[in-house]
Amino acid sequence: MKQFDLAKIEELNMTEQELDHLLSSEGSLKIRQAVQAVQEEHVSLAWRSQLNERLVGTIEAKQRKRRFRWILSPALGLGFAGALAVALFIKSPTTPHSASLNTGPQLEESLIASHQDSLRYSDVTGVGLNTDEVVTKRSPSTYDYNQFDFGSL
Amino acid sequence: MELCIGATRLSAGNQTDQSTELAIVERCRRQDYEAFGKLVDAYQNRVFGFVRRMVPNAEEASDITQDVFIRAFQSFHRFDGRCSVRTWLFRIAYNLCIDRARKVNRTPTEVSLQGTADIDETFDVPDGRWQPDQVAIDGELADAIEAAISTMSEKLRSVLLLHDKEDLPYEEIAQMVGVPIGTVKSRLFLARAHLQQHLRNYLQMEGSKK
Repeated sequence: MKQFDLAKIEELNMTEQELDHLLSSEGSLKIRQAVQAVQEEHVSLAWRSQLNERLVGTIEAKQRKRRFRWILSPALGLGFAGALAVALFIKSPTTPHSASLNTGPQLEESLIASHQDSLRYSDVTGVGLNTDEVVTKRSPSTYDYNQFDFGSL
Repeated sequence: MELCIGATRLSAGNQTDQSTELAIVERCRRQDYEAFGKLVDAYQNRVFGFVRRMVPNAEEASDITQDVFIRAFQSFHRFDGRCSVRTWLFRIAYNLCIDRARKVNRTPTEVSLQGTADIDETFDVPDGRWQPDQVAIDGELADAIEAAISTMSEKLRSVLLLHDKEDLPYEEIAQMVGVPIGTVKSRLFLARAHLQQHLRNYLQMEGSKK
């Protein structure tokens, strides 16, 4: 007895038209009728009630998930906002540094320059004048002397 | 396409019925338990029949059929309506049966059949008792058909059941099984030939008894 395996299905050497012809032959249709006539299987009531239980369980699980998400999403939002606020407000205030003071030799130079400036200011104006009261690096021609009330001097 | 919901019989030809079907599908998409129950009522026996013939163990077949409906309910929002609900359910059932077969690592049973060259292409079953219309009445013959189906490989069996029992078109079966339409037809031809062979043997044995 010859055996055929599934590989032979693909090897079936027939065109689609030939197959169509064979499948629509009377004998073939009788086989089809026989398969159709095989009696219907029926599920039991116990099966159905078990399915209902499983479906209800699925619905409940989905609702629980949704509820959990409903509670969790605002909580997560609040948590994130709180963390952001904490990060912004508790952040330590940074001391503004002059760019010229960042490096070693520049720091030295600027300290010397500052000291020299203060000596110059004290030479000109005497002790007691604040450095910010003096305008530096401006040529005398840029002053508008009309603004001054010389009478008050 | 036809959908039986309780006492109501819905058919594609009727516009009102079609809209009712669409309404039920729409409700199912919204996870309406009651509407889904109607779909279960309509298809439970057919899906179970298919799974029962694909899986040898009755208890396992019951579990797989439940899984089919649970999976359908969970993923109804993904049902795009390009095919009928029936086809969609059978697709889930087919996939679950194949998954199960892979899980148990069962290789498809090879069919013992007289060589393909010997297949009687006329499908003639020369017996006076061969009355397909009365097959349902003849319990023994029905058992013989069931036995013949159960000895087929899963590939042949699934195509035979989906086409001949469930009336699915070749295109949908090809899509479901993942093979060209020509292969579906080849498998169907071989499945019918296998069935014919078994029935002929059965009828000959019955004849010799008498």
